[in-house]
Amino acid sequence: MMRARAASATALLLTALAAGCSQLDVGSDLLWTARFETGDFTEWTGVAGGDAQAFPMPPNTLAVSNEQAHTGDFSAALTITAGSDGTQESSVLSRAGGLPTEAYYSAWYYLPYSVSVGTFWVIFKFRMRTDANDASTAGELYDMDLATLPSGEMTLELYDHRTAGDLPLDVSNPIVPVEQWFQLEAFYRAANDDTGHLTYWLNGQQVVDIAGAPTSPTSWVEWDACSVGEDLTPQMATLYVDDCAVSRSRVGPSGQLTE
Amino acid sequence: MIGGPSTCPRPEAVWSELVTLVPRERLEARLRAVTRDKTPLVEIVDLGVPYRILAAGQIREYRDESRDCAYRARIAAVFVALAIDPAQLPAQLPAELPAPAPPPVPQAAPPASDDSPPPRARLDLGATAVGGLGPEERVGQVGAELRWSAGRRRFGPAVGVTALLPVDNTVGGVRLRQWRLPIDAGIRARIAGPRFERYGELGVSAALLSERALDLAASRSQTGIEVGLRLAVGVHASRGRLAPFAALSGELVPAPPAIFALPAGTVGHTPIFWIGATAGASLSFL
Repeated sequence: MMRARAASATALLLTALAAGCSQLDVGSDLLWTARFETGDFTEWTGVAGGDAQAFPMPPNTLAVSNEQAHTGDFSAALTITAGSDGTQESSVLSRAGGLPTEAYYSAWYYLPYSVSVGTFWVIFKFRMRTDANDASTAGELYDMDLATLPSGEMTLELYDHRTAGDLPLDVSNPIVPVEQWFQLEAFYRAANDDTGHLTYWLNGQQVVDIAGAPTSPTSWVEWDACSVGEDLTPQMATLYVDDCAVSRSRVGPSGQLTE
Repeated sequence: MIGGPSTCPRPEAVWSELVTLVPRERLEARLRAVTRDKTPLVEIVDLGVPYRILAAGQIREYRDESRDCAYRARIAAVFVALAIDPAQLPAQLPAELPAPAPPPVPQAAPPASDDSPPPRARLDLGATAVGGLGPEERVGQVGAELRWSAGRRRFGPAVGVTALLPVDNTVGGVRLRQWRLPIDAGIRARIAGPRFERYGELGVSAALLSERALDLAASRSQTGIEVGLRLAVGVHASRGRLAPFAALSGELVPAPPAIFALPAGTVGHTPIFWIGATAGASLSFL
């Protein structure tokens, strides 16, 4: 009888101790996310300055797909057919304006096969305005491109439209995996003085850090997760995009966009 | 009525001092009332350094190495007045007059606590400081602790509650404002001593824990429960109804709550171990 009582008391105590293990959700630094689990693009189009479109269409398309997903069941399939005729083909998810002066921008990508890049293939883009209140002053700024190494592997290149040239990366020819999800994340502070800052991470590894220099004429920011290319082989290239986020703190490869 | 062979003090000097202490009429009435034969009611005997006073059947011997006769006369007068009319003297006694030499010091009285039973219960109230230790967090908090313990035997129940002031800290890079209200229940074991009582406590604790992020884009407050095992040792004074006490405590929380914030996810846990020190006053109830 006494043993049974002692066992019951011990069990009760252990249960109470285990019950103490709980999770305190204290909030979020995420300013915006797009996980495509709604099956459409409303996460992009439902916010001011947000857009999701492919042009010209056809042949280019933008669709929510369940063929690949980083998390959940859906992702965005950005498909372009970019021949060698000198035409730029685009499939773009964009957030233009309404973004903070500085933030972290993150997106996950999936390349189902290796693509040979002839001219360029932009997948992550920042644009700017010379007058924050005048849409007609918008222009190109920084493009993170996919490129092809002589080995056939894919890598990254950072193109600066102001200098019309590539910026050197801190990591030479980082390898972008094929048939695997990879994360591109940037910290971008739009400033026309030495507080400007731009940093990129590939799967958590910093590949370039530009600090202490002007990055943009104004604090207005456009961020695009996109597939904009010219002269690709094969011509039709599909790029899957998932789990996009704008955050006040770094997302990182292990970051979560939902509980 | 005052006689004896003493020259220091002389009986007349004692009489002169005595009439300043007790009104003459009352003094004569009292002396007549207690006089039973012709022998002097008061007798002064000078023995050198000592001098002896006999009054109304009471004898007292004093020592005065300086042989200050006036001083001796005042001392003798006070003793006589006390002997023959104790009710009158307190109102009349000049403040500057020295009291008669105290009676021989008795053996030290036993402490009151030795005679009185141990208290039926104690209520401890004190200021407390606690520190939390964990892999991702170190935090210090201050507050007040109220503790009740009962029982006159060696073992008895004890319960406590601690109100801690909010404190700001950082867990996994997330700044938080933390508020904690621990309560505990357990057994107190006592080791009583003549001056101090030492005690130890073992029990379970549960803390109401509130965490609020300070710097996140979207912050929210969350409340959880910590459950742990508590061990404490302390000491308080044995004498007096209100006695000072001091205690040290440790609390082990095997499964502390996780702190979760997007996009990082679980950034850490609240401390797994709390240590505390408390000092204050302990009120006993007989």
